[in-house]
Amino acid sequence: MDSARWRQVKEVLHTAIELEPVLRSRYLSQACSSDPDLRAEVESLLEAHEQVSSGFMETLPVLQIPRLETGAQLGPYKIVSFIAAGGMGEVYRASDTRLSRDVAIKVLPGVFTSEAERLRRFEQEARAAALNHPNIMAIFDIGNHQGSPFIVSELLEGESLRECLESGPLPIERALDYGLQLSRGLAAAHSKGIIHCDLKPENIFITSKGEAKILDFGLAKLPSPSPSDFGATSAETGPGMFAGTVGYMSPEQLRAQRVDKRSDIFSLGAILCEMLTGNKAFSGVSPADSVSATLNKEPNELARLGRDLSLGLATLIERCLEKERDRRFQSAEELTLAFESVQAECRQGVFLGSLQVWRLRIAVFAACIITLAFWAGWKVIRQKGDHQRVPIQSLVVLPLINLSGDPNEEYLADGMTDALIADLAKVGSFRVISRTSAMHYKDTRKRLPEIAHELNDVDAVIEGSVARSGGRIRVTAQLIVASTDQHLWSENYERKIGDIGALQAELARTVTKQIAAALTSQQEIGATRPQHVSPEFEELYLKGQYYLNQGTTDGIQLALQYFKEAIEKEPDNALGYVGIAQAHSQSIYVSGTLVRKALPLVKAAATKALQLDDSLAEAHGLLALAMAYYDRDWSGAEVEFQSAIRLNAGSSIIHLNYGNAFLTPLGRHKEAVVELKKAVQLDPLSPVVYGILGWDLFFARQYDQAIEQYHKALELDPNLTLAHWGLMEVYEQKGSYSEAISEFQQTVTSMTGRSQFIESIRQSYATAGVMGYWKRRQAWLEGLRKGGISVTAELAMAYAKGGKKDLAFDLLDEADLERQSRSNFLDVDPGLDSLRKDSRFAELKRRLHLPIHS
Amino acid sequence: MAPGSPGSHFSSLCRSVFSPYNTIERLNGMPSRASTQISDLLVEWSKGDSQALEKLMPLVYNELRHLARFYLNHERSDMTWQGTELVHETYLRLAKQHTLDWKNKGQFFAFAAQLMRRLLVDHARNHGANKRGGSKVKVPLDEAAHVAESNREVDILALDPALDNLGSLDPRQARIVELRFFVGCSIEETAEILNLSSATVKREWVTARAWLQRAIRKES
Repeated sequence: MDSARWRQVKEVLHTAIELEPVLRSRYLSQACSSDPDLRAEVESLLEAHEQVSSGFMETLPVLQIPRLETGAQLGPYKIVSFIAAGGMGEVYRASDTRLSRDVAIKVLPGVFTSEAERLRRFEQEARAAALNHPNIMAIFDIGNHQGSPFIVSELLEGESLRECLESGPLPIERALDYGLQLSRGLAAAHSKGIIHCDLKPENIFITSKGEAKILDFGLAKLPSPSPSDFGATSAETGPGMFAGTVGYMSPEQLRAQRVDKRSDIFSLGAILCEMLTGNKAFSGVSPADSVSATLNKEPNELARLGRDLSLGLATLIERCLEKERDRRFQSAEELTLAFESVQAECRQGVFLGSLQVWRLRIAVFAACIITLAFWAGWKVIRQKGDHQRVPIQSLVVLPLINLSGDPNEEYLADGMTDALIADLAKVGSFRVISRTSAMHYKDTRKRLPEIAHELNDVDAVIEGSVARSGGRIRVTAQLIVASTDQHLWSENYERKIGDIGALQAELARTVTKQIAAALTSQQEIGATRPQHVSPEFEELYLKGQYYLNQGTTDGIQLALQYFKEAIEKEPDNALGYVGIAQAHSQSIYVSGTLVRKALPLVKAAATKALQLDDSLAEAHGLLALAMAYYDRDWSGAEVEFQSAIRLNAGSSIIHLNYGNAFLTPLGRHKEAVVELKKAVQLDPLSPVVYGILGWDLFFARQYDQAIEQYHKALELDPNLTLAHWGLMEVYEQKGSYSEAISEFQQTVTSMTGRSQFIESIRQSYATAGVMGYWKRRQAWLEGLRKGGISVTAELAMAYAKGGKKDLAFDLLDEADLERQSRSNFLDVDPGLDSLRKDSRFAELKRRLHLPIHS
Repeated sequence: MAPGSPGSHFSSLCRSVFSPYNTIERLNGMPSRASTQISDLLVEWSKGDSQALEKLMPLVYNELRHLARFYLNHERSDMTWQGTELVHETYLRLAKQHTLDWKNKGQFFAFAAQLMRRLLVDHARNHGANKRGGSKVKVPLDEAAHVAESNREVDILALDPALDNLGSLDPRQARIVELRFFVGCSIEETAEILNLSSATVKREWVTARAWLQRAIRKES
């Protein structure tokens, strides 16, 4: 094109632009009638013009003019080149002439030195970042150049996490690795009392060696030097601005509440989420949307991703991103531990599902259920029955509602609910639905008759609320006949926080009177609770229970911390020790702690609790369990189990343990099934309880009834490994190998989410028959064992089935030493039948102190 | 009109009180030799001596840097400048120091626009080189990314040759673009500087943008 042609094009173009779009085409036909090239040219420019309207060249370009020239000298540092600039200063590459190494220098513009606040922040950054930790950018020096303060730091090669994320999400292993490193860095900062307050991908640097470094402590909150700083809200960035960055700031930061180390944990959670998904955890069209998402919504996309994450990792993220900081990890150390355990899972190759891992553990420990009742399923059993049943024989305490408006107080309402359930259950004259099943109805919108129906037609419902204001607590409660919605009773209570125990006792007593149950002196509620409980103890204890009920490894660790603190406050209060015993017993299932290690701790804590107060049913139950499974002191265990049941006939867990951990191993199957059915009555929505009942029936060799119970469990939780595994063994015993293979497939899938092995076992069975089946089955168990999963006795069984007796006995010896739970069922395990006549079997039984009969 | 868009800085042309400038004057006392030289060259350039432009460039650039550093030390937190501010400040500084007899203030702006363009292209080139450079040495800073982002709106390195091409077809249009885009002059200011009607400037600006947009798109 030449100038003349351009002039021509320009004119037609401009006229066309001025015209309404609908008229353009006609104009162009006219103007370019003899010149199709002209028309094509103009049309192409018109198209460009349409795009221009979206802001092309609207924003002026900017120019960076660094203040320091190459070669400028700042003390011993010589400027090599300018690197970047930001709100807090400019960064140069410099060489340290004394040590002849390259460093980075950040210079604060001189103008700020007159602004005390900016200067203070700059120095604080230096002070904060001066932490000596590989995951925090190292600060070497601080100085002043012609009135401009500067910081000398290590020169990092690599890119910011923001830049890393520009090319999409990171592989899980890398995200985990960075997360762990950052968590360690945070732990170091927190240990000095320093809170970062502005963690985000821009402030994280990934070096070319793969190290993650935390930068920019410019907004950090340092330990308060003077009392006047106490209670200071978040640091200020500028007028009308938040400290921190929307999308990464915690809810409390957004609300301008006091920040603490848990606020950084939230930000790290948001970053982790972004590393895994490639998208911001809390994004929105506008910052206001992000704020609202942070305050009210679950992280974007996490749900979608959830499927691909292990439960360990998903839980880790969720715990970081809890809206209420009390529910988050309480420290970066704790978070670090969680990262390490998720990473270990990842390395063991069972990464695809730690959800499945704990299910597996349950399966493996199927026969040793301690406090599993809270692993309820989510489906609801539908059963039909008559509605009218007065007088009241059963009731459910619906989760009390937390009215304080502060989610941090949730533990108080939940704790009151638990205590009320526990106390009412002890009365014994009516059935009280257990906590697990009751907790299904937290925040429910279901109507009472529906709830009652789902809970095997429970007769009455207690509902209410808890509110705390200052040192006082206010509880309302009402008792309602489920079928008629008739209010039998309602009451308000207001007490000092320290009176919670007394308040619970009073509530339970009143409710009990109302339903006209005769209170014997022995059943007098509250008599066993210490009369003078300090508010501190009460709070620590309730928090401990709250975290325990979360059923996670970290929950247990936190619960242990709270119980220990509670004990420090009141060393004579037995409840603190009961909490410790509960936590250790749960750790077997939740964290995979070895029985051999956990049970002595359970025993010690339960024993101590009983020395202080021998009326605590839970403590008797836990002691009984340790005596049976660890000491193999069966007669001692029975005494303890019976004390527990006498003190509290309404605990599903105690019935379950008595049946499963004591009666079944001793071959007292009829009694065991009775106990298990009581547990089912008390906890009708827990798939695990049905599953355990299935296992007890299996050991009783009532295979068809076992199958029925396993199916009930699977109706509540279709992925319950415990039940699939149980079905697999039942079919193996029945010789129905094709069905066994199908359940084997379900078992493997429920554990790993994948269906490997299936074809090989099918083929192996087809070509080599039963022996071929067992060969594959052994190989699979060997694989699990290598992966660190305790299946020693199960493997022994598989070898016994495959005819390898010596190997089977060796493994049974080992299982006994491990105190692996399946080994307790030696005497009743149908899978070991081929070994029974061997003299080594009698020896094993002797070691387990099992009665030698037949 | 949104802040930062061409034309919104017109008022700064009319600022009569400019305290940092006064401070500079106090600090500097007498006009420096460099600035005397600049004003001489400017006069020559305005008389049509094209060689004066080449001599002017490095001198004015240094002057700009000097000015920028002064502000960095005394007034501003960041070192990013839009052409508008920088050129206006420079103009005020030079004009006031030397009481030049500027027949046409526009001549200075036309010159400064070219200067800004050159500086920005250099800057983009260096910045890009840094970013893509083998060593990849970098210390990220809080908002560093933001600075880069606002330049990302238009790829200066793609715009520069496109603008050269446009200039060869229509030099006047290229100068309009320089004034509007690199210095941030409004339609009216541009018209005044180039001694054109506002309608003409508007028409040329609209068609030039379409042309440039197409050229850059083709490039990428």
